[in-house]
Amino acid sequence: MARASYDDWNFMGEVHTDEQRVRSARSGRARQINNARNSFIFLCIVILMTLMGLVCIYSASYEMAVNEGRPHYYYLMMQGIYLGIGVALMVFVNVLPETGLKILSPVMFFLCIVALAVEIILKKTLLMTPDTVGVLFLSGVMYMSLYFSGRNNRIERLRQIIPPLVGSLLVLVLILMQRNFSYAVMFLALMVTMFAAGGVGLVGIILLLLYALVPAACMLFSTSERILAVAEFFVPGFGTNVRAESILTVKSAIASGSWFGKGLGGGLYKNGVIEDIAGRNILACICEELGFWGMILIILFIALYAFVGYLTARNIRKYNCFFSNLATGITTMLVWQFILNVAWVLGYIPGEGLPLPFFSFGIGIIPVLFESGLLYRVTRARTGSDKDERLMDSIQNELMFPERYDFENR
Amino acid sequence: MRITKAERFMIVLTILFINVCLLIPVWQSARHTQLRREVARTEQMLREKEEEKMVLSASIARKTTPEYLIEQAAVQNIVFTQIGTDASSLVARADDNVR
Repeated sequence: MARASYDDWNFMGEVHTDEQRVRSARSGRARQINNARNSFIFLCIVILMTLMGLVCIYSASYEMAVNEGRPHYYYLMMQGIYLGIGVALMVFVNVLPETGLKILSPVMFFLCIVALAVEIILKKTLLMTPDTVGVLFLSGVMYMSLYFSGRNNRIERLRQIIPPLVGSLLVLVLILMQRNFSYAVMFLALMVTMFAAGGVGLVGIILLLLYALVPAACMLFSTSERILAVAEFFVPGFGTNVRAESILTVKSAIASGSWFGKGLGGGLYKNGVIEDIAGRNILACICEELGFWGMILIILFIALYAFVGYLTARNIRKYNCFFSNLATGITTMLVWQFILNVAWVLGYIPGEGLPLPFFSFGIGIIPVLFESGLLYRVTRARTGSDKDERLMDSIQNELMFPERYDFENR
Repeated sequence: MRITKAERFMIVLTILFINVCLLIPVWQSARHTQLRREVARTEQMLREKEEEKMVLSASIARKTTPEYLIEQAAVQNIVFTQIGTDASSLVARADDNVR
């Protein structure tokens, strides 16, 4: 039978059993340790993937650099510069207070909408490149996180989702006006995730998707090349895929890697055979040099990143909706980016493709590190239980050592 | 289980060490490629120089033949006149046979 005792330190004068006290103390402490451990594990994954990416980029690009008459470390050096900017942003995000992030979110989203409009008017590419489109997606995620956290992730009336809905539709229309269907689909998928995280129920999301289905179908079948792309997806060899040759070469490179690969730096396909080998097509080089098991290792890292991201989102959901939504959105974005890159490289989806996060050469690493910095900030955020525990500690100190506190002259 | 600061430092150092270990063979491979390319370029240049030298030697050999001399004398309207031994003087040539 559990022994009941009076808790002298508790002002409410509640009676607690020993087991309850031990359990509550353990769970609070365990959560605190888990949070600290999660943030450290997350940091380790980010460092590991960033450095491995750097090695892979170097391995994929040195032939190209030598062929161009540049020093063999030219692309490594360039990537190092981008990495430096990304790390600086990562640090900036981690020292920025939560209020600052909340101010930054709508500002970023607004600036991205303006940039998209300017692109259409001036007919220049600013945001809609594979490397920079991540900024647009991130701004959408940050804005939605802030909006839904303002309502504690509880949407009860339809009119409450009008502002994010209008914002999403505006961005979608602006993307589609630039005839980029694949990025529009990616943005739509992210917004659906954010709506789900923000408390819009399954029925609401299905209804929204049904509404989006008709204009999406109209846009999809508005140009002949899209019809051909869809037809080719179902009937291989039906249309004229401009990437058909490249896809075949990429598949040959991947197959040549076999189980264990040719070793880092030993690849043969990087010598101008595959275009953009250090960028969006780096998967071919990685598979050729590291083989099947190397690729599995990278998939495991991404899975661990996703696991820590979603776990953090779940842990913090009760205490901070903004951070929870942010963690869900960022993790989904990175996982989607990885999956879409693999599908694009293997020719399963059309479009311009996205860079492989952490592994592709280019300024695409900057938004990825910015996102990782945000997620690290979320993993480091204190939960409510930590605050309660600190409050209890201070009360206990005051009662145990009253001489330290001058109550009468307060 | 709590991870201490020293353990964290060690883990991060290990990650860095692993990646440096991965980078070194790639660096060697890249340097090897660059040096191989430089050697190939130098060899190509040497071959070209050799060829150029052979063309020049052939040209000099052709131009020192009596036939060419007579031909060029006719083209440039030069008349050869016989000179006596007393009037002639020895002119040094950049040749190993003449000291």
